[in-house]
Amino acid sequence: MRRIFYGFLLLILSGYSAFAQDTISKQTKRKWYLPREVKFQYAGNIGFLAGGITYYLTDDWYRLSIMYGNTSMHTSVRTLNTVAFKNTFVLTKFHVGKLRLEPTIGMSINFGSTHNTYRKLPTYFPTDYYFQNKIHFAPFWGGIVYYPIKNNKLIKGIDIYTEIGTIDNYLLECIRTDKVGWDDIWNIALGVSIHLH
Amino acid sequence: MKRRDFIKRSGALGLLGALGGLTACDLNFEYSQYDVDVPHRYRHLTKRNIDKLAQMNQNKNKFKFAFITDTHTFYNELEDAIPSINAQKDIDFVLHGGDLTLSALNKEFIWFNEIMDDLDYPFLTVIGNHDFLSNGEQIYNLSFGPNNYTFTYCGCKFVMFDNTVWERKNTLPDFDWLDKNLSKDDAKLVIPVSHIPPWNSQFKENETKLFNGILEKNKIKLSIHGHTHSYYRGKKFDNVDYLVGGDIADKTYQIVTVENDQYSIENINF
Repeated sequence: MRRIFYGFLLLILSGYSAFAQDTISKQTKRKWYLPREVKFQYAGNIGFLAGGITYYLTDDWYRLSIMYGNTSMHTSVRTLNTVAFKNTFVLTKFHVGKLRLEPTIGMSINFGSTHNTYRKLPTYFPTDYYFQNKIHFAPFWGGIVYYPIKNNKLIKGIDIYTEIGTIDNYLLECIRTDKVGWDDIWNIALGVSIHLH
Repeated sequence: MKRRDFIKRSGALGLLGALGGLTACDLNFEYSQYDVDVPHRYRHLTKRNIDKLAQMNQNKNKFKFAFITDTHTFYNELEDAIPSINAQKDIDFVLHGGDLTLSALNKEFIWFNEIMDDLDYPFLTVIGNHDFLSNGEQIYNLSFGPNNYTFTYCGCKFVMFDNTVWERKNTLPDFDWLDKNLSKDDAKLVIPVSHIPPWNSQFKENETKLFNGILEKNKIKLSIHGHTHSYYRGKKFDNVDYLVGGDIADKTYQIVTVENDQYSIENINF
């Protein structure tokens, strides 16, 4: 797994090295594997701090971010790693001066790894003894403030974003019980994205 | 302004307004649903509740406690149970037979404890198999205390025993600890409390015999459990009287009366 990760990282870096030179001549087509953004996020159920890359799948209206987050640096928790596939949809765009504002909604698919999380139960469990607890669906909504950067060969712009999100378990208990209210299930995340040429 | 722009801007402003409205909620940063982030008011609850028992009058031969189990995320039913238990004016404390949560998420432990805040009596718990999921054991240890512990009230010794198997990577419970702590010492009666009854499928046949054998060897009269989600009372094997509480969704709990070395059990519907 680690080899694949480093291999992929090397591919992207080498691609960018070539791309940075290409942008000068503007002759080469953008390589498919080069991400559009590098993203860092604080909180939001994907770790104390998460980092990742973003691809634009339908122009830039649908963005897929692949992120890795870790929490053990903050709390006393022993094992807590998260890989998230964040699907962000930009609802609209409007400009205020140099800034571009983008309200968003999305759904993140989060894979958690802890002491006792299962996608498939070990064989000593009876079949279907537990519903899987490794993958969670996490709806969110928020907004992006984008600021373009001119005259930089690599960086096209930078944005800060905030998201208000929850996870499937909380939503279920909110619907199912009187105890868990609408205002009990949401949490907030902050992030920054570096947009690349 | 064009109609299309008007719709776009109205939608965006509406969304921003809704976002603003949500900020009126108690919005927090949450790093993970699996996080171990126990508020200070919910830490060391086992010790704090045992300390409360120590302050109570223990110079009596007769006392009562309520037994609830498998509350999971049956929050509505648990909220209904609390006033009913509080209305039992002659009980001294409450025992919980494990499975406080469904998925052992940090928030589930908090929601459970928020409901238990309304209980007028001290309560003591054993850890259940569901409480072991994700980082649940670590949350339990921080919020409540050790998995295995004992306490004595009015001469009756309670042996609270973690007997989870599969969720501890298929390892056997610490039966040596159980055997050692079931010794009567000066107690008039010893009552073990563990989540899973010995005949449940988490135990192989020889482990069932071992578990029940330890209780028989120590001349245990009453052993209390949860887990099966259905009520059972009886002598499954030889001499040990087993009480298995149903889940709280059954809207039933038990009142156990202990007088010297005798006991009686009453079912309460709420």
